[in-house]
Amino acid sequence: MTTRKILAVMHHWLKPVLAALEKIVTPHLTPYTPEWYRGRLTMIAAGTVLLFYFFPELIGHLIVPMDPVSWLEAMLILSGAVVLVLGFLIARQGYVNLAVWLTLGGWTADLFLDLLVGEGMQLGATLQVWLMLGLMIAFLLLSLPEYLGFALLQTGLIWLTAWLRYGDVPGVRIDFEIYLIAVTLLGLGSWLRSWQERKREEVQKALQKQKEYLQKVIDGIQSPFYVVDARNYRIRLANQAAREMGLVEERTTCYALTHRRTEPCSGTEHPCPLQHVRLEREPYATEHIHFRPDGSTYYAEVRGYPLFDETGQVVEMIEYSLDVTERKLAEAEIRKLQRAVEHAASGVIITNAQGVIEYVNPMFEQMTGYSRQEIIGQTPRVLKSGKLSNEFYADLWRTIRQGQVWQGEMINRRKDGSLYWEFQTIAPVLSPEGTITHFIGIKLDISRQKELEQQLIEAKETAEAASAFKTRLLANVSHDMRTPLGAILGYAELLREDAYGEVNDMQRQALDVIAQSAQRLANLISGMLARAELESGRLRLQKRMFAPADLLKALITHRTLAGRKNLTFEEEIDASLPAKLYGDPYWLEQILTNLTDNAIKYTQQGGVWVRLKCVDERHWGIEVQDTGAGIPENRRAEIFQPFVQIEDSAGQRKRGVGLGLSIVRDLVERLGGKLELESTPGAGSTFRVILPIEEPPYAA
Amino acid sequence: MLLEAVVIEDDAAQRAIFTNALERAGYRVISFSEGKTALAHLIQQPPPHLIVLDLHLPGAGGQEIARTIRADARLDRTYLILATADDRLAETLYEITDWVLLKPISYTQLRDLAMRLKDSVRR
Repeated sequence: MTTRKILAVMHHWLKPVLAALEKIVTPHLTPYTPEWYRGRLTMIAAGTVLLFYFFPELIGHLIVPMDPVSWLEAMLILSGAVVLVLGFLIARQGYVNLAVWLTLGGWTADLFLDLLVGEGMQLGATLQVWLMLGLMIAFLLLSLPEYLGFALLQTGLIWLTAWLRYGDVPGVRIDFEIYLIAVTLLGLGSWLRSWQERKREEVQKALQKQKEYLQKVIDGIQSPFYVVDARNYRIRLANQAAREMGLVEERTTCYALTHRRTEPCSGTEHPCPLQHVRLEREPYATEHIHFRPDGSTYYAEVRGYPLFDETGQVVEMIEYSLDVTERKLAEAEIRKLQRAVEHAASGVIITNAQGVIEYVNPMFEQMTGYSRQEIIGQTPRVLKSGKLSNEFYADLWRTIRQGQVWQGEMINRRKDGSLYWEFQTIAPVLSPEGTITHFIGIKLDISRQKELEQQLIEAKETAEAASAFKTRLLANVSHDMRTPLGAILGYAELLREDAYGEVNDMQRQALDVIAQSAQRLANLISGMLARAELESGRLRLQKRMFAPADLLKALITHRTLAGRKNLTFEEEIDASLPAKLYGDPYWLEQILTNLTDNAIKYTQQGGVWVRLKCVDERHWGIEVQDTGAGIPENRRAEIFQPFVQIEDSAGQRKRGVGLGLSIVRDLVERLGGKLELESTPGAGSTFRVILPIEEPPYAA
Repeated sequence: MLLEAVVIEDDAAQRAIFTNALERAGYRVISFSEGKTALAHLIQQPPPHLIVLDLHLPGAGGQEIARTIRADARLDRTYLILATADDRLAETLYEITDWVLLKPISYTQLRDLAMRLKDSVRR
């Protein structure tokens, strides 16, 4: 207790002194190295010799009265002291060997010069102590050969001095055997020491080799691998990959680099495997994001292993990280695809190359009624309905075994025995070598579509039948109505022409109305028939060669009508128009009469011109021009709508069935032509039908 | 001397109207209600200037009669006007006839046509 207190006090007072000394001595040598110790020992030796040999000698010579020899001695001592101070200073500078030799050499030279020329020094017991002290210093500070050299020199000098100064041998004056024993013992010691040193060097070399080997081994690991000090997380050892990451020994802490933190990761906010390893004293692995030195990040799988000391404490930890970014991304991709497959609206089935089911998704379960547990290990044959031929399945297998994708509709049987239709795509999965490993089937339940399709077909057939019936009915009605209409029209006109006696104006007007109405009814019938055929899609074109001039013959009524309204009515045929054309004259006639009907109907004065024109080499046309009211720009689209008529300038509706223009346009389109309209309100309109000049499919 | 016109039409009312129209146009009209007698008449008598033929006749159909007439070289110079109530049928007959009138046939229309034909000769 007391001792410790004293030591503590001493330490307290000595500490600044030692620190100051530390600054003075051997600042140029690495502390705690053998050379550093040697340097210090040299300085101590030099200091000791100065303090205990030279100073007393010097002071002794200075105090007693001088004679010439004493002055010489004093000079010798002084120069010896200077050499030693020099040795001390040189040792301080780090030139240890030189310092040792200066110290020993200077001192030994002084001793022997003093013996040879001086009066004070005798070859005797005192000198022997000094000599042995020199040997001791040489033993401590020099290597074996240097020590031997020094010992030989010293022994030689002793012998020389004894012989030159006294004319006898050393044994007479000093205890030479003791001296020699000391030389020998110290030589043996030095030899032993050098042998030990050599051994130690060998061991160290082996260690170094082993360390290099170990470094090579860990450098072989291509991912960062490093050992971290458990106390401060400093890196103690790192492989090449780690160094490239900036994880360099002794300089960096792992967390500063891989997580850009100033403190170790706590393990709670960020999973730190080392934290776990340190606290739980067991290996640990986790995955998280690491920074690269350039600031970019990567997904790392990090593993930590503890290294224990002999007391079982975790002193160091190995951290080993793998860049698993690609795997992570692939995993995410797989998870995504897996989720898509699991939640797909289509049934998904995966079988191996032999057709044994390995996977089905929930939609498959829903479609077929088989649960995953039931169906896995079976083959898709359990779904067979027996409604499809063997050839069908043979074709399917042939296709997919060839590595091709098969697609088609098939009828299958659910677990409960009911049938359903599915649209299936089966694709083989190929290994990198090109062999089939699996088949993937994507099934879409199309039972409902099939049902709808059937309903649609039935509905279409019904509609078509109804439409055909309507057309037939209309055709019959048309035929049956025309005959009585003929009577109405004919008699009304007969009466009007006074065939049965003179009629008055009132009666004539009434007869006009009757005749016009009958005519209009007849037009309505034609229009309805045409529309019915167009809309039922049963408008059959009966194309043949015909003379375009014959078309104009249908306008015989119109000539009469125009004449009655005092309108000019002219028909023209281009001379260049071929005498025969190929087409359906019935519908062309309908188009022509409709357009002419309208032209006469909406023209109050002026005239109507009907022209058959040759447009160019490949087109001909029907043109109907009038000097009627014209059609305003904004109404042009709507006149082609069924049942729409243009109001006249007085805002009154013209009478008429209104079927005309829409039918005309549809017919023209059906015939592969187009209908154009040119009109100036107030000046008249020109309807132009442009039609292709067709070649008959047979040789004319 | 009046030109002769032959009307072949089974419907009495139509026949009367056609006859009237042609007479008004200045023809001497002989009318028949069916094809057989009409054909017999046409073979025996000198060819008329024009014939108005209804396509829908009982017995031998109008088309049949039309073809027979057109096949007869004696009737080469006789105009043949067909009357029909069937839209689609009318246009198939342009090849064998001169005019096709779609019923209802206007009295004035037939009269005007007949008047125009009076002054010309077929071909």
